[in-house]
Amino acid sequence: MYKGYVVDGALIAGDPHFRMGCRLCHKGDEKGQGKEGAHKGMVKRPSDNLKTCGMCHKQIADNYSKSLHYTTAGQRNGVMPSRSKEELKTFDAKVFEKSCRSCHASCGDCHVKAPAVGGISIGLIQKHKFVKKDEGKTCAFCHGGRVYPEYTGEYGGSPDVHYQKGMTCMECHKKAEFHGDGTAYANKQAVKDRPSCRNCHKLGQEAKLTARISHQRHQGKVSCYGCHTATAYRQCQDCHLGKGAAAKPALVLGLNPRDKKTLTTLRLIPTVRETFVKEGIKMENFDALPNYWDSPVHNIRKRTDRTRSCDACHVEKAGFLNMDNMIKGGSKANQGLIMNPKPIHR
Amino acid sequence: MKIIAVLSSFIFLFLLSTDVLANASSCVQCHTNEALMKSLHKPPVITAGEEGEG
Repeated sequence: MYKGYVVDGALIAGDPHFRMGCRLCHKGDEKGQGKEGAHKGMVKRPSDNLKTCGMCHKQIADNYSKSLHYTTAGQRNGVMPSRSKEELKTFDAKVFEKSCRSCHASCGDCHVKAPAVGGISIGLIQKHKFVKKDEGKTCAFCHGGRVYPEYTGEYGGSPDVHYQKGMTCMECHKKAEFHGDGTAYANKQAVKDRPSCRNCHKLGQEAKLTARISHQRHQGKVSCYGCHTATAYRQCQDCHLGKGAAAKPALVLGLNPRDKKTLTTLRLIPTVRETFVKEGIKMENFDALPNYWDSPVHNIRKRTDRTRSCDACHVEKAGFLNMDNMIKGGSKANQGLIMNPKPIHR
Repeated sequence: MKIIAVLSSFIFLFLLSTDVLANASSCVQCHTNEALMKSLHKPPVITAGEEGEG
């Protein structure tokens, strides 16, 4: 891990970021004796203050200050309906800022030093070079619990076909999505120009007639993920502030809580009624929100059980959320996500 | 001509000083020395809390 603190000396001469010395961003005392002396007053994460990078990259820093990747406001906005007004104040003060928001990404987390997760960090991404991107050392860390290992196949099951084709995160998630456009979107679903399968995969241009017909029949009724998510993905239960986290793989199909007309892949959000009891939050409106939310699962394949046979959904109902496989003691709103596919008349 | 020469000297010295500043600082002397970093580094104490977004 010590290698994560080693800077490439060759960068000092050529990279303009180093022209004004380390103190410009990191403060500290260059003339201090020993590690403690030199580190006195040092700022470990200078880009936590966006004005640091904003000295030169003003427009990006201004936009980023409102980006969901920085504010994590989507997390807060998502849970608001399940809290009373008083509980929300407590949640903001005691939980969101201290816990949820610890996931906010500074400029450095993507461009300089790999983010720490659970206290572990590999340190500088490329010896303090200011990199444009390195998804395997940045995205993969914060999103390494679910999305990334599902994408690469490390979680088990098959890797996403896009990963096999050599596509990394930023092939779909563009720079503008991260830096933001200056708009404080309420959640990621509202972000303009967010990734969409149809950006590359146009309807009506399928090579096979069967695919074209199937897409026409299910358009507006089933999301792309509903058919093309290849395998089970991680479902976390009993959030760590409650009884203790547990995770197991499952493919869950149900109605999208944000759009009840569409069937899609659902992921269990591991919040139970007692999750925030220690903070004095009972979640008086717990039943206002479901525990399952639409998830763009990143293990896509063209051919899956559901694309091979209509029976997988219309007869077997494989993976469909129902009263038996639903979590016990969960929100009453979960029942509104159950969907019974119509039988096929042959 | 004299004014140009003087101004050029000032600009050269300024640029040189910033390069010297960056290179001579104790930050650079320590952090570009891998062996020294290895000897000084202490693994962090792991505490529960940060889990990442997932």
